[in-house]
Amino acid sequence: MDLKTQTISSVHKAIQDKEFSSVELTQEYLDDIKKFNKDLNIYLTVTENEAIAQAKEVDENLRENSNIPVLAGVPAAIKDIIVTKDIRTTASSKILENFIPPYESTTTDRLKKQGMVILGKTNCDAFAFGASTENSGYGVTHNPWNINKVPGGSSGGSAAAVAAGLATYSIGTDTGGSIRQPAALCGVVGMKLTYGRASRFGLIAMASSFDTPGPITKTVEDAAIVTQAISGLDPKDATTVDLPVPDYTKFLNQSIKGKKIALLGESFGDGVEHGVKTSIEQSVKVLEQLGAVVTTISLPELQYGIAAYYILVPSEISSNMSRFDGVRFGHQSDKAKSLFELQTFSRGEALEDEVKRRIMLGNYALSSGYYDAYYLKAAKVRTVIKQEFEKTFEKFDAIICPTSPTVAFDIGSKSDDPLAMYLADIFTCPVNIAGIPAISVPCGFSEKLPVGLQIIGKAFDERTVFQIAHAYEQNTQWHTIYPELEDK
Amino acid sequence: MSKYTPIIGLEVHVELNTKTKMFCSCSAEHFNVPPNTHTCPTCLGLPGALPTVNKKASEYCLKIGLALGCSLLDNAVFARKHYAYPDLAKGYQLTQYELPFCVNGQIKIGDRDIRIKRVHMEEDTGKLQHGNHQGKSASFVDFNRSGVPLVEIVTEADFRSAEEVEEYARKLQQLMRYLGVSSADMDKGSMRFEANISLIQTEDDISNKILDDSQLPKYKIEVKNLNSFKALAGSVKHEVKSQAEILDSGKLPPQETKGWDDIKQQTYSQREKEEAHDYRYFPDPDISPMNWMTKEESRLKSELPELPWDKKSRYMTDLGLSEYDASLLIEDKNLAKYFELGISDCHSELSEESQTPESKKQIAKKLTNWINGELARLRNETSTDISDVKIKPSQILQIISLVDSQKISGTNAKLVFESIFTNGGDVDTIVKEKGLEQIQDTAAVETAVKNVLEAQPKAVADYRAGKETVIMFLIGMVMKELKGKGNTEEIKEIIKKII
Repeated sequence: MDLKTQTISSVHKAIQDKEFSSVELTQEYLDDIKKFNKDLNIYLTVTENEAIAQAKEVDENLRENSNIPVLAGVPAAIKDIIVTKDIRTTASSKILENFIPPYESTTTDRLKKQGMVILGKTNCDAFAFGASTENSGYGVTHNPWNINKVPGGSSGGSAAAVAAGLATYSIGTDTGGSIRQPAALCGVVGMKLTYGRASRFGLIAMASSFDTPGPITKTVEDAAIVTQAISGLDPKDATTVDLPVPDYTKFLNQSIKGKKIALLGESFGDGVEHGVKTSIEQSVKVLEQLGAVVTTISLPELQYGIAAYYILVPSEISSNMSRFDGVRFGHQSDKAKSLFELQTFSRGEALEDEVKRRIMLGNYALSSGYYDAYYLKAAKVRTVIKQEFEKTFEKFDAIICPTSPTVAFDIGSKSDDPLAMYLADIFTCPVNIAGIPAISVPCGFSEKLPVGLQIIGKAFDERTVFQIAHAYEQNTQWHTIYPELEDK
Repeated sequence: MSKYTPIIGLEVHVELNTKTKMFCSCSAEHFNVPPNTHTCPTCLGLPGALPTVNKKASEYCLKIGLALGCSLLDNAVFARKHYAYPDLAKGYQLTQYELPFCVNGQIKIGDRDIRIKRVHMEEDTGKLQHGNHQGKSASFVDFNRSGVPLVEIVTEADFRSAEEVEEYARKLQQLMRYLGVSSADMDKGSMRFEANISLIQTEDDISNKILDDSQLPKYKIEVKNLNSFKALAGSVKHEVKSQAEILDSGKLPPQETKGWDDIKQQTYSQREKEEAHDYRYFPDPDISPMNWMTKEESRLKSELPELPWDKKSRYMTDLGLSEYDASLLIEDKNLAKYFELGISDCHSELSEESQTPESKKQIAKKLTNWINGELARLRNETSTDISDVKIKPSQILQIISLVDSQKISGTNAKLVFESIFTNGGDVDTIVKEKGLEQIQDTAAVETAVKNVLEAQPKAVADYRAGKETVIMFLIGMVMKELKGKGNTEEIKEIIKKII
C-alpha cells in the first residue's frame, strides 16, 4: 500500500473493515522508517516494540468490539519535545540525551486512550528554538520534497514524517509558527490551536504563554479529528480553559458562502517570494468561487510582532531553561569540582548555540534596569496586537495570508544569520502573540516546493478555521500531490 | 541615653500546615520523612511539568493577612524569582512580587501600631545535605520540602528595640496557632525570621515616630535564618551595639547579609559569591492572574476565630481580669478555650437573676486563679498539655462552690484538685472518700482548740505578750487536730475568744 496517501479516516475505515490490521500497517511504517530515516533524519527514537504492542491491542480489541475510536490503531509520530512515559525524550538537545521521563504528557495520554500507535519521537530544533530543525543537537531533518532543503521548524521532523508517509499523522508544538511553517514547507496541514484549548502538561516548555500542542496531518478532516482528541480542560494545566470541545468534523462540510475573509495586504509585501504571492492570489480566487467575500486589509501593528516576540519569548525561555542544571536529570558534567561548576559546566557543555543565545537574550531583557524598556514594553505591544486582531474579527470571520514568506530554503543558507531565520515566522508569530487559532493548508507550489496558506480565526473558533480550510482543500488538488522518496 | 535609635524591619516566613504542597498534590510533610519520597515531576522541576495553585494554602495566606488588618488585592500574580542553587528545582522560586495577596496591615506592639507592608504566598525549596558517598565527600538534595507552602509577612521598618521585635514575633506565632494555619514551631523550621537593622542618629526622640523611606538610614544590615526568639532578639541587640561602635568611629557600616552564631551569641558576615542578586522577576506564565480573593473576603473574615488580642481585651473589659491574668490565659488558644468552657458552664448553671456582671466577674476571677495557679503549677511540674488535662473546668467550678459555701477548706480544695488532676474522678466522691467535709460542729472545734492551747503553753504566752502572728501557728495546729476539715476563720475566732 502507498503509505503517503493514507489519512486517519482512510486508515480507520480500512482497519474497521479489516482490509488490513493495525499491526500490518504499523509494520509497513516501521519498514519504511528503516528504509528512509537514514537520509531524512526524521525520527530520533523509533519505538518499534511499543508500536507493535499498541497495534496488537487495537487489533484484539476490534475482535470484540465492532466500533473502535477513529484514532485507534492509527500510527503517529510525536515531536520529541513532548514528554512520553518510559520513552526517551530529548527535546532534540544533547542535555537530555538520555532522559527517560517517568510521566506522560496530557497530549499523548489522551491520544493513547484513543488507541494511538506511537511510531517514535521526531526531530526538531533543540527545545523548539528555530525554524529549520538545523538547531537540533542530533542533525538537521531533510525535506522530503528536496533533501537539500530544510523541512522548516521547529516541528520539522513531525511535518516531514507526514509528508514522507512515515506516519499517518503527527503531533507538533507551535510557539511562533513551529507547526504551521514546517507544515507549509513540507506540503501538509498544520493546526495551531487557541492558547488554553489543549494542555501544555508534558510539553517541555519553550515560552509558556505561547506554546500550544497541535496536529500535523494530510487533510483538514484529520486535523479536526486530532484536535478534538487532544483538546479540553486539564487539571494539570492551570491555563487550559473550561469550554466544551465541539465535534469539529460535523461542521466541515458546511458551505462557506458569505463568510467574510480578510486578506492581509502585507502578504504581498517585501520579503515575500513571488511564487508565494502567486499561490495566495490563486487561493483567494478559489475562496471567492466558493462564495466567500474576501477583502484586503492591512494590520500595520503586526510589523512589531517579531520584535515583541523576540523579547517576550526569550525572556520566558531563559526562565524555563533554568531547571536544566545537571542536578536532577540530563547531562551532568564530570569536570565539575563545585556545585557552581556542576551547574555551569553541565549547561555549557550540553546546550546548543541557539539555546545559549536565547538564554542570554532573555536574561538581558529581564534584568533589572532593562525590564521596563524591554519585557514590559513588549508585553504592551502584545496587548495592542491582541486588540488589533479582536477588532478585525468584529468584521471578519477569518484572516488569510501566507504561512511562510518563502518556500523551503537550502540547508545552511540561513544558519549563520539568526535574524534572517527569525523572519521566517513573520506571518505566524503574531498569531501566537494573540493566542488565537490558525491553520496552514497546502495551496500550491513554487520552485517545485510546497506553499502554505494560513487561515487565522478568532479565539476558540477552531470550527470556522477548519470549515474554511476544508472547503478550500476539497476544491483544490494540492493535498493529493506527494513527494517522491529516493530509495537508496 | 544612646544617641542612636534602632530602625528595624522584619520578614517572617511561616510554613503552612496544609496536607499538600503549594503547586502539586504531593504530601507537604517533610520532617522525618525518607528523602525524596514526597515528590513528583512538578516539585522536582522536571521538564514539561506545570504548577497548579493550592486554594487552601492561598486561603490560609489571606486569613493571616485579614487577621493582620491587611487589604486584599483584586488581582494577585505569582512571579518567578530566579537564582541558581541545587535545592531550587526549577531554577526559580514561585512567589508574589508586585501583586501579593495582602497589603497594608498593622499590629499593635506595646501601644504602637507596627505597619505590615505585605503578606504573600510562596514556595519553600528543597534541602541540601552534605555527607559522604562512596568514600568521597558529597552533597545530597532532598526535595521533600520543595514546594511546601510558605507565607511571608513583611513589616515596615517600624521597630525600635529588640523587645518590640520579640513581642511581635511571639504575637505572630500565637496568631498562626489561633488561626490553625501553621504549627509555627521554630525548632522544625516552620517559622523563621530575617531582620533588617540599621541605626539612625537624631536629636529628637523618634521611638514613637513612623518614618518614611526617605528618612531611613543610608545602609541596612540583613540578618538571615534566625530560628528562635532568642536568636532574633540576640542578633538585634548585637547589631545595635556593633553598628553603634562603627558609627562612633565615623564610618558607615557596610551593607551586608549576616548570619547568627548561637554559640558565640553574635552575628557574622555571610560572604556570598554573587555580590548583588538580580532575581529577574517576571509574572509566571503558567498561572493566570488570580482575581477571586475579594469576592471571598467576607466569607474568609467570617471564618476567622476571635483573635488573641481581641480575646485579651474582652477578658479584661467583660470579665474584669487583670492584664497579667488575661495574657496568661490567651497565650495558648486551647487554654483560653478551657477557660471559656468554664465560663459558659457556670453561666448555664447560675440562675438568671444571679447572672449580674459582678457575679460573672467574681466567678471569672476565681476560675482564673485556679487555672493560672494550681493548674499551671501542676501542668508545669508534670509537663501536661492543656488538652490532656483530666480535671474539667466544671469540676473547678464545683470546687469553687464547695469552698464558697464553706463545705471544704481552701487547703482541702487543693487536695481535691490535685487528686482529680492526677487520677481523674469526681469532686463529691473524692470529698466523701477522703473525709474532707468541713466540720460544722462548733463544740468539736472548741474541744480541739482547747486541746491545742493546753499543749502549747509557750505559744499562748507569746500571743498574750503581744506576738500576734503566733495565732497562725495555733490555727495550723488546730487544723492538724481536725485533719484539715476545720474552717480557719472559725478557728481563729474561737482561739481569740478563749485566750
